[in-house]
Amino acid sequence: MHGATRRNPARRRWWHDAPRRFCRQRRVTGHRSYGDPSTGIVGGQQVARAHADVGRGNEAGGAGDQPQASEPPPRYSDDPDVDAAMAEYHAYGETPPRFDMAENDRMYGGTGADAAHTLDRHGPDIPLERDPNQQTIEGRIHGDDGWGGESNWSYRWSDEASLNRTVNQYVAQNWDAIRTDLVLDGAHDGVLIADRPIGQGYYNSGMYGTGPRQAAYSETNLGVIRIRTVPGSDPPRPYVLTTFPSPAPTP
Amino acid sequence: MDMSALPDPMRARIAAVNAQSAMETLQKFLLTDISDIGGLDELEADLRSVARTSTRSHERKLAAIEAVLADPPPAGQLAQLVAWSGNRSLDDPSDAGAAAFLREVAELLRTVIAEATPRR
Repeated sequence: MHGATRRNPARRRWWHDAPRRFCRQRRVTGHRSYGDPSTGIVGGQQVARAHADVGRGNEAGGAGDQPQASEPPPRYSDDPDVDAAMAEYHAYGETPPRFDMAENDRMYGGTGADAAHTLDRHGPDIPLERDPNQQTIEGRIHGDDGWGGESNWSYRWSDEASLNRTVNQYVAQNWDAIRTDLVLDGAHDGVLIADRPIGQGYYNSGMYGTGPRQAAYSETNLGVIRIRTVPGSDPPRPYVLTTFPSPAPTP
Repeated sequence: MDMSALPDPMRARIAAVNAQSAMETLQKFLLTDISDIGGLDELEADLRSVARTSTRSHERKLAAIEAVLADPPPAGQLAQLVAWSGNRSLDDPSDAGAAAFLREVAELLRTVIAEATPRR
């Protein structure tokens, strides 16, 4: 699925498209990709349906434990700004959502700044070794077509099981911080530290003009995760904008 | 907003974020926001998207850049920070080139903050 997507040049450069229309697009086109509710994963419903799933618990990814959207908002303080922030904080639910990243990207991918893109850029199906005929992890070091210029490191997730396990462990352990950031900052960006390798890729061993660009293979147990809220979702619904393995903090 | 009226978990998060040094904030910004982008147009789109809700994080990032540029780290560290944490391959990979890149990002942040109408 994603391999075919990556080989489409227009698709490969989707991040240069400006319009933030994916939420509306999903509703208008009626794109459906229902997951299995019994698996307890995010993204089992499309955005429009998600809005109707108020109070169904966290099976659908963070929509649980909150009051019906149509109910009058509860009062938490005498300060209306604090009141609004706390109401939104509680609306995310006490129970951390669980994500299935393939479903997350199918539900919230597309074009524009809000589009989920973990598997497009860092999925385990992306070939590692440089190949002039397709987008590869090593090719990003050299700025091959579709990557938007040269990079000093480039990694992919080892497999989808590691990806889902790492994301869900992080979300479970940091849920209060995540929903605080989503409420107050409109975004949560975090650093993943796993107890085993989660990604594989390359770094440029010729940095700082010390030599020609040279892609050196390595594995990593570190990564980045970026979480956002589906635009217009009520109650607020978190999704993973992207998550990717990253190298050690210093070369 | 009176942050002291927020519940303990929220105030704890705010305190943890505010306790980060300018260098820590900048390093994280480069890693999470910049290391995976194709160009600054992509960064701008993301910053504008988040700014529909809040510019609090933008202001922290801008303050961190300004503080680090005003009191630069030892020679070579700024270049390494941008090249490695930011995953940028600049035409000028020196400290001067890294500073120029950060000034450009800072100006982008100022523009987004100035033009934003956040709901929070």
